[in-house]
Amino acid sequence: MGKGQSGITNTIRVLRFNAGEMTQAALAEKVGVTRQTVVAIEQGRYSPSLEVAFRIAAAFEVPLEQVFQWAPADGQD
Amino acid sequence: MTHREMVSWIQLVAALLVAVWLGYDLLNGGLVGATVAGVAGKLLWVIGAVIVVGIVSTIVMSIAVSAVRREAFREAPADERDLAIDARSLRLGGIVTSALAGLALVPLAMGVDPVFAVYGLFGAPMIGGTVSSAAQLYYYRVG
Repeated sequence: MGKGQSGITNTIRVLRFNAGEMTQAALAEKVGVTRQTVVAIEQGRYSPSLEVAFRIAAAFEVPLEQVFQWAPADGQD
Repeated sequence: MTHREMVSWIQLVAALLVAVWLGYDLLNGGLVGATVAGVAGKLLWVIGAVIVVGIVSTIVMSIAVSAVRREAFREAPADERDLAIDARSLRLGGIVTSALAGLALVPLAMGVDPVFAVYGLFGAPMIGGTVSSAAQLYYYRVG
């Protein structure tokens, strides 16, 4: 599961696996971003815009919260 | 490596080559008897050469990588992450360029040979561009 410093985690790797090992390139094409951006999102190095987040969820036909989760870091509400 | 990263590397290498040439020129009497017009003309040729070398290098590298990968190596349309990285690195480069260009006025204010100011005005965007390219490569790695 990819997790960045923002406390946002995602399950894109699992969702790709469940979608018949969808490649990062295929997901990138569906979402309309580059493969490098999908890699960065999946690894938690980049937090996408709300629109791209919804596009990713739509690509897997799941609700947004099944793709992205947010856990507040210590000291954050 | 993406096409964008390759272009950044080419810009970085070109800037370093210019810095080496500039150092070599200064150490070998580039300032002796130099006039403002003479130095400005010389540096304009350098800027032209950097642009030509950048274009030719990008074309040659694209052809070489395409031959190795056996598929066209072309620039993909920029997405939101590319635009965000461009904005952050250009901002950083712009700050450096502005600061150094401002410093180029110091020799003029101190009454020193204005040739130094010409070198300063040339160096400001070169260093700013280098910082921008380096920042772009960094941001592509970390974010």
